[in-house]
Amino acid sequence: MSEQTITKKVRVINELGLHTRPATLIVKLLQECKSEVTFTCKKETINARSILNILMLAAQKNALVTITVKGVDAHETMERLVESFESRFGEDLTNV
Amino acid sequence: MSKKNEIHLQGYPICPGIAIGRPFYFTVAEENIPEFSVPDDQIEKEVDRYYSALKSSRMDLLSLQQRLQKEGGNEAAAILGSHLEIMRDPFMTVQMEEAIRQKGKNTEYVFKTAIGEYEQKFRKITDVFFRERLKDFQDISRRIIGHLRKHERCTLAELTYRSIVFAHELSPSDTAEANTDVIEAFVTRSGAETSHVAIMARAKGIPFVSNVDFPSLSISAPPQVIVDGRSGEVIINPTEETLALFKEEGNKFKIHVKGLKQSGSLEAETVDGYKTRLSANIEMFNELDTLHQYGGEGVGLFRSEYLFLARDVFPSEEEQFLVYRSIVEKVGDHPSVIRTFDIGGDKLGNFHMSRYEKNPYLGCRAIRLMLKERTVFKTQIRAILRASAFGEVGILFPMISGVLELREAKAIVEEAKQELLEKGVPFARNISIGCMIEVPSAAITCDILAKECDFLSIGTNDLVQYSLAVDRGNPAMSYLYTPAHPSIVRMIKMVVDEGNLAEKPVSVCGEIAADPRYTPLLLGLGVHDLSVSSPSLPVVKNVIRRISIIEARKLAEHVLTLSTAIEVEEVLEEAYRKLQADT
Repeated sequence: MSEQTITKKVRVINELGLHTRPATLIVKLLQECKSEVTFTCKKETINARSILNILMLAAQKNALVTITVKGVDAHETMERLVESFESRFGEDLTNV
Repeated sequence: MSKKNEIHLQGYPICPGIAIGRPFYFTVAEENIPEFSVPDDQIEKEVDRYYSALKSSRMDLLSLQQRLQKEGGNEAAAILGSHLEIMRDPFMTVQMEEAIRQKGKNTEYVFKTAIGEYEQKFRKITDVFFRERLKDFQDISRRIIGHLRKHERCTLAELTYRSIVFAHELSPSDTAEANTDVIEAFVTRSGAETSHVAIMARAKGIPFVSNVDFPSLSISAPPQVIVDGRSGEVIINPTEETLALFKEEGNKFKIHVKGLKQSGSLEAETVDGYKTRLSANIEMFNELDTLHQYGGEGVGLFRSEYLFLARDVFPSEEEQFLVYRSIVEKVGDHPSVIRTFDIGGDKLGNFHMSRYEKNPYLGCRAIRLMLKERTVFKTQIRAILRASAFGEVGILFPMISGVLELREAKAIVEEAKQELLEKGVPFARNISIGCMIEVPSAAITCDILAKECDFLSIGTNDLVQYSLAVDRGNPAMSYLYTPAHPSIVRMIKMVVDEGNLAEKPVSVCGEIAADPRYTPLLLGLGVHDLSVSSPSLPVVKNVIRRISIIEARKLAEHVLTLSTAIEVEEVLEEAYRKLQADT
């Protein structure tokens, strides 16, 4: 499989935004992936493999995040990322 | 976590007042980190040091996490999981390693700088919720720095505007360094009524509640907290209504205190003309400014060890002299009593001495230590003597347990006098010398002590602790810690009687002196001289000016017949309530 770059815009829908716990989930998820991943939000682009970087984005609920994935498993990585965004990072709705 | 759930916590009220502010969780230190270059061949060592601190920090968190999981604290355990992940963050690992190699500086410095840069970037985030996440990061970096600098302590100097300090417990040095202008209140898990923090909080009029079981992690730090130092209530996440209510209460309290302060210029005299001397306990030099305003007649107790606590170096004779002289000059016509260092061996870097002390309260401290560390002691005595050329000064020895210690200490004063005489340095030859009565053996033999000194000063905090064999810092035992115990009342009576017989003044300077419920009792027992923290001066004076000495004597006679602390407390409470209702 060859290396490819894909980009997708996702919306943050969980109540508290990309705070510590979602950031941790993302970083853990990416530990199983080979691709380079960056997030762009409010004109700032960061390496998504760092919790501290993700936190720095201060992406609140409804913020738009551009995910860029580059690598051999780009598609799979993107899929998993989008899924975790959409599932509100497992945050129980009654628990926000 | 629910959106706006007010949480009410109950603790022990220590210092009255109402505060509304942001919580500050006090953990470990990272101030005063030195910067130095590390030669190339030592760099690997620095890198190793960093990784081992990181490893130790991870181990801490892992064991904490395990414990939390066992206790069912899954939410908290998950947060610790995030902390563990952050420690694996490139920023914390490869980037830090690279920075240490590149900068060629000591690890702590490089780490601190990197952390500082990150924090600065983070602070630019306008969203409050996200900015609060910085706390996670700070928790982690504090922990790592704590491992890098095991011997350093942390400071409260980093506080920002309107902070309410939450801590497990606060050491005297923590509080001594605190920028009290920005501290709205203290909340601690342990620490009972008479800890040094309590003393300082009272000195500065900072509301303080202890024995509060507040949530252990700072992760969900609420934006606002209310502390009511009158009732001991701490409210986390207050609703708008609660906030409004407490804002109003706070204003009322301020007006009340202001009213009391206006009595500053009045005499501390009972309605039937019994005159007392009301002086102030001082730790911080800058408290002197408020002394006159609160109506204090001189300094009844200057806790000189506070000169130490904010720093690690022993103050020179010159430095001490300048402080003591300023006190004497500022106090003006009234006397100032300077108590010699009341510290343990650790404060002098005598770790060999302190380390083996299983029970430092019964160990080598205060006068016992000073009689071993004669150079330190004599330096202080010389500084006090020199200050006595500028106004009335008394020297007070802490923790005297018998007359031999007093004699030995007096001999050193004589030596110091001789040295000054030889150099032609002026001092007051008749400087008065006093004994703290805070060890039961001293109270019981106070007639012997009174013959060989010029005044006695009852320190009730320690006297209660030693008499009732209760550690005042142990919350589980603090129910036993009460100055209302008949043994304490009798001891005060005994010391006052013996003092009067020997015509030596007796003052009371423990927290009991600052508690208005005890004021009538103390006066009734024959005490003329009370020394209290400055903000307590108006309250105590107010009571003195409203009672009659005849009533006070009757009260004391009655109290002396009671058998238990509870009965004593009830009678004092009742009398105090009546007094308040009368006005």
